[in-house]
Amino acid sequence: MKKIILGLVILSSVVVRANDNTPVSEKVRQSFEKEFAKASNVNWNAKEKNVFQATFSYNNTQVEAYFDAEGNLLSTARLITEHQLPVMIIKELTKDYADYKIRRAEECNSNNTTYYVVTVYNDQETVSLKCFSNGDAQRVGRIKNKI
Amino acid sequence: MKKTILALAVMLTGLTSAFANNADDVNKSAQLAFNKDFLNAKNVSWQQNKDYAKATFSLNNRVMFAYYNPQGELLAVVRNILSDQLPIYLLAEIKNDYSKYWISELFEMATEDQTTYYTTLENADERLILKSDGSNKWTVYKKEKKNCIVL
Repeated sequence: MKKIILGLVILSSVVVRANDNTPVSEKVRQSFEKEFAKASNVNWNAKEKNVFQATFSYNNTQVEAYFDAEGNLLSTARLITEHQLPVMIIKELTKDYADYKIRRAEECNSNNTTYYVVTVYNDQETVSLKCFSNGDAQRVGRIKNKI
Repeated sequence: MKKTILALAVMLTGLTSAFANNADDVNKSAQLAFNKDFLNAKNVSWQQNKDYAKATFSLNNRVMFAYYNPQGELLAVVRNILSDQLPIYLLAEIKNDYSKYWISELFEMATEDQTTYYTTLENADERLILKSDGSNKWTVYKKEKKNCIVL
């Protein structure tokens, strides 16, 4: 009988957790709401120990933000368009990767540093670049396209 | 310092150029450097000033401005942007802390060292000019009361 009651308690806690969709403390949630007051469609996930991921819509873009258990914002990432890249990155890409097209661009921020992960491609290859707003870029991945 | 002067020049004169110079009247070093820096630039026009040459052009269908000193060194690239082109923390700070203002001007000024954003925010009573400090926060660059006109 005790086992059944315990089972029901666990089941109901899972249901509550699934319904309110916020497996995070009030502290983390308040911190999130202070940082991104106009966010909508917020979903929470517990990642590694004491790291919580919020995915949400913000100003018509999809954003991921990571918080620790104390509510400190650790990092963010959002998908952006080519035109949202800083102008020096656009300048360098049009010069050094003139015959490539942009497949994907992401703005990332961690440790108070903003950088951009840009994936470009042409007929031969797909290249991932880590770019900084002054136009500096490092190759972080390269895949030869299959013929 | 040069950057501050340039930022002030941009804010005072605006980014649109009133008169374009003939290519012959524009510093040659600046033109050569520009042709290397912006291979795919289109619709290029030049304005020669005492201290700098300014190129107005489009790149990837967006209008922008490049400023060169008489030695042909790129001082800055400037473009007007929309608020969604701001890094997310700068955008969030405007939405959180300046929601009672409207944005009347917003531009990005990039040098080879860093990118700085400037925005002019207004409400009925005052005008604020904010300058980004890194890509995470704004500082108030200038604050002024609007003049009241009594009829």
